[in-house]
Amino acid sequence: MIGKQVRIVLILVIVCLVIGGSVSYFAAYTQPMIERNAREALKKAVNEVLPGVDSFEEIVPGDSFRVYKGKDAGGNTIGYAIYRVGVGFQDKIALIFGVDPDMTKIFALNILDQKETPGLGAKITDDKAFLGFWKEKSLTSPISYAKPPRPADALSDSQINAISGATISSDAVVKIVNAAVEEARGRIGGES
Amino acid sequence: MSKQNTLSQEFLKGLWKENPNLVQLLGMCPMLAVTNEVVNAIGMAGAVTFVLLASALIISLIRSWIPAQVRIPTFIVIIAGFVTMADRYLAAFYPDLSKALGPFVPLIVVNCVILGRMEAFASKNKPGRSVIDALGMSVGFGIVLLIMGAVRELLGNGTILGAQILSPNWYDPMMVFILPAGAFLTLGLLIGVSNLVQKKLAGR
Repeated sequence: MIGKQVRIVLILVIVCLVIGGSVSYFAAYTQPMIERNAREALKKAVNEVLPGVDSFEEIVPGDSFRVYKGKDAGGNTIGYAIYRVGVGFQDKIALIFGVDPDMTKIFALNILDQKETPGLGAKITDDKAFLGFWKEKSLTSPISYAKPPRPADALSDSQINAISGATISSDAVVKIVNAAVEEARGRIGGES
Repeated sequence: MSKQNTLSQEFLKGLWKENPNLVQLLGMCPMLAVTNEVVNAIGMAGAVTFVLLASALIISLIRSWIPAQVRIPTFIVIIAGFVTMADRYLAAFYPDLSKALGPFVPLIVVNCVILGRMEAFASKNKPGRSVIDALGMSVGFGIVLLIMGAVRELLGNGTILGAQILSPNWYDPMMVFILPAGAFLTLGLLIGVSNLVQKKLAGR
């Protein structure tokens, strides 16, 4: 009977070794491509929120808060791209936005990841309904939102429109951005 | 078994008579979760097809060696290996699709359609026959996913594969169909219709 038990162990070990080996080979083969995809996604995101950026470097690393310093082709700092993960209505919202070097205004905002209600909260990714209002907003006072929505020219310098029917999601984004600006000012205030 | 199925019967049973979703009611979680858009349904069907075919081939090839006492762990290790490869492949070549499918690709490991076919078929049949069986099951699984994806995307968003079919000018999308509740409604109706057809066919 010993022989039978040894055989069981041996066959399981062989199967695990062969499968484990093939998986690690395949993982090593795809690793560079997966990393390249992540890099390209980041580059695209930074390009969209920092107009005219030529190169950027990570100056504050982290999991839920990161800051990238963007430079133009001449090497001048044109601003920072701030990445922040915060609490949304259903799950975390990850976003990135670009600010000028003095952090007095937002160039643009982009939502990278969200699981808000499709058709309602998920409109935070919609340019016309939401993201468009964020362009060139002033950061001299914290961002606030108008509810009910107003015409774009009736909004104040640091005001955006909430999405009707999705105030919680709109409010979540506003809070994440305001918190991120606070944090960024504290972390890199002395550096520029 | 008095009479063995012909190879084409082996393939066709997965499409209708033993359809994994409509008749066996296996693999429900990925199917309910990722069919909110046609493109996700295609991605999931493709990944399941790959895993099912590859595992069926390997397991039927080594079926006589696998000790009966540890057959399930052996199947799971082999299936998990192929699932990990499929997951890495999607992440490397189709990053957007991989992001949309989220955790449901790794979860194919516990998709009962796959383990079910290994236990019920691939571990008892020759490689050729097992692959045909796996192909039939994958196509059956894929068709149901596509129908679910098409119905839900069309009713819930007015589009199919992102192309506008029902104009927003006169069609107000029924949001519920892209939410989880819509998955249950669509699946229930689909199974109802298939049972109705089955009854009609049997009564003839």
